[in-house]
Amino acid sequence: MTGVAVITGSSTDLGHAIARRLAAHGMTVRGVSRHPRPAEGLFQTLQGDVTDAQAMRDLAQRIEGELGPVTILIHAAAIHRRQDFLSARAEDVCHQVQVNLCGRINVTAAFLPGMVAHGRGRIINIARPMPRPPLPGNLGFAAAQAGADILTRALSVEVGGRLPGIVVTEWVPDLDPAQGPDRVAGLGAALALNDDPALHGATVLGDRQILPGRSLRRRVLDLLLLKPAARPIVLAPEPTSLKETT
Amino acid sequence: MDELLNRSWDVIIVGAGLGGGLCGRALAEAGLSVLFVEKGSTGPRLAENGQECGYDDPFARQMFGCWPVPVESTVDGATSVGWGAQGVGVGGTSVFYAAAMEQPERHDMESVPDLPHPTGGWPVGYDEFAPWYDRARDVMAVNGSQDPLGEPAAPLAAPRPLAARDEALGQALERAGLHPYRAHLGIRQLEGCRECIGRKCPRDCKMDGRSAGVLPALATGRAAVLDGTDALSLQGDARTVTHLRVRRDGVEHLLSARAFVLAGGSLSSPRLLLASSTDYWPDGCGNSSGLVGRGLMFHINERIAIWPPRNAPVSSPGPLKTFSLRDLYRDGPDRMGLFQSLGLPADYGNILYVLRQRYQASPFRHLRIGHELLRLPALTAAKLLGDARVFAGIIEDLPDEDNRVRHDPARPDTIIYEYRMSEELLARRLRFRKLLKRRLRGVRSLWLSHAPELNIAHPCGTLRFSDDPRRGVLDRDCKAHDLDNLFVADASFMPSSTGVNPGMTIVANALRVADAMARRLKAAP
Repeated sequence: MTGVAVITGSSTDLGHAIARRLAAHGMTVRGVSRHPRPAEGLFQTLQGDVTDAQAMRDLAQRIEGELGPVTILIHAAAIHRRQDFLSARAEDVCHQVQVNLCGRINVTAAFLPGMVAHGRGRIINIARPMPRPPLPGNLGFAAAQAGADILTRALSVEVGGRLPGIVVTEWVPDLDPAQGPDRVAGLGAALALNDDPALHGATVLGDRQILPGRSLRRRVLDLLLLKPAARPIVLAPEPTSLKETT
Repeated sequence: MDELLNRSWDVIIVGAGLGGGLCGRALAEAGLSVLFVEKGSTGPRLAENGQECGYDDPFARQMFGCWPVPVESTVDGATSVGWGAQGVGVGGTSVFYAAAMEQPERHDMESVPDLPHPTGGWPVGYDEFAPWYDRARDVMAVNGSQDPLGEPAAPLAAPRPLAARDEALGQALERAGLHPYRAHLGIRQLEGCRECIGRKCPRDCKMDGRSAGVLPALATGRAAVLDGTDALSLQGDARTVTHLRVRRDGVEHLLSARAFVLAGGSLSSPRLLLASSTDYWPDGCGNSSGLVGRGLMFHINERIAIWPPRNAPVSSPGPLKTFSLRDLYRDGPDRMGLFQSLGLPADYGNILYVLRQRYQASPFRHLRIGHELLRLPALTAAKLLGDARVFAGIIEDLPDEDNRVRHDPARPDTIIYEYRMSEELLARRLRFRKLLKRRLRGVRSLWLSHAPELNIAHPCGTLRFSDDPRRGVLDRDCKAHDLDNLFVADASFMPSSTGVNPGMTIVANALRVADAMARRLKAAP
């Protein structure tokens, strides 16, 4: 597969690893980061702050102008600061919302017009599992996460139905070190490269699509009505072996 | 935006659908400046949704190009409120149409020796209209084959070859003594064409009000679209329309032009005139005849599934909307109409869709379980119907002044109409069914419709043209008799509904009206 992929938060471990995977797979990859890591051969990172809507529009214009339409957009930029809300400054709490939620809106709004113009696109929102209620000290992060969750659903109904070639998916990677970071990055790349329309509006937990729950009554009914049971999509890690290519 | 709102245009067109789009394109190509005022949004060019958007919310519906609010119809005295077949946005309803581009016959427009026309004939007859149909076929890139029973149609591109199973179906129809020909379709068969029947075409294949009208008009550099804008009323004096009052983003504006064209469709153009009552026009603009909104017609649909012979090859990829037949177009004194492939296989999904539509109209519609239980009969029917093809006959409707569109000032957005199926039409329908049954002898078929079914996607006749200002709202050029600069370019002008889908006639007439307008506007700068 060839094309252009953009990854925000490309200096995070996960964002960086997925970017390398996609690049090794033949995609032209541009990372976006406030503090780019030193340049390496596989992909370029552009300096940019996702909280700056105009900067993101300029970035999109520059990337599309140089490389053509962006087909894959991965939101990996996120910050996580524990704060005791009883003593936190509102500005600091809101900053997490600015980066983790508004940042995604800014970046999506910058790159979506190009996807709409070509009728094709793949958008991955990387999310964290969030217990309900959240752990104490997570107010800003949890509020942003809940917003980002709805953002995926809302974005999927904005484009779904009209533009089936644009597929939006939420991905909750399993960040347990026992999973092996290499495998997790491989799953992220595999998900980005999979534009199965069944993944539109879906949530993928680790390597497996989460299907909406069915009540017992619903299940019996579906059985009676010969409604074919939906099967979740299960990802295989993108196989490209990546030792030290640089 | 201010530039669009404040400048004066040669022509303002209300409604960017099939008629408005094609009329505006011809005017812009003739060198005139044109503003399309469109209720809906422009929307993404690559959208490929159908008209079943699944939302009741007006804003969401408009995003999909669907009319935002339900239609209130009173049919045979029973009032119901439901979703209509009207679209909004650039291209209007035509972005969803099935691309049928069939020309009516001589007796549809004028009296012929053995069949008088019920209205005495259109002011513009068959021969005068003929060159405009030729022009329309050219502009709409119509493909198909010649009707063996009719007059030759030109120009006509060659259709894509049929799948073997449909080939066999055509031969079976011929063996039954019928004369199928390849349906005339406004589809440019570009590489990878998916024949977007009933949904938006994301490419430049299907020729509709957008691809063949508004977009080429914009390409001239002399046209613009003011979208998301509601037309509220016309303003002017005794003989002239001076302004169109519109609302955009909650703010009212007055737009000015030398001439105005109504092209909102037969259910909407008359409502704008009725909404425009002033001291000069106490009964609404252009309504001295009292006929604005009156004479509403639809077609009656008869749907039937037809199987290819038992030994026919299995289905393979190929065109979906295949044949038209005119064997039943007229039977002695009876005006019937075209019999044509609908472009749908009788498969599980389509059967379920039809069943659910019927269920929605039944008193049980609030029982959700029934909605689900329909899967069983649909599955059974799909097994039974195998790979049948769905055909539909349309039966011509004739004008009745009591069938009409209304305007309610309290609900200016709501399409409201009253319609009664005449005894004559119902009797003719029964004769059509009998005739069809007889002519299909030897062909395996199954009726899919039982009660008379109005084709709500084919409204026409609500601003009919006539040389007599007391008998029609418009003159032969589709200019309002009462006004010097108000024209109509949608199906409202039709004095009778003809035996074919209205699309071809809308396009041919829109081009004809644009020609008359361009000559006038250029003569008097």
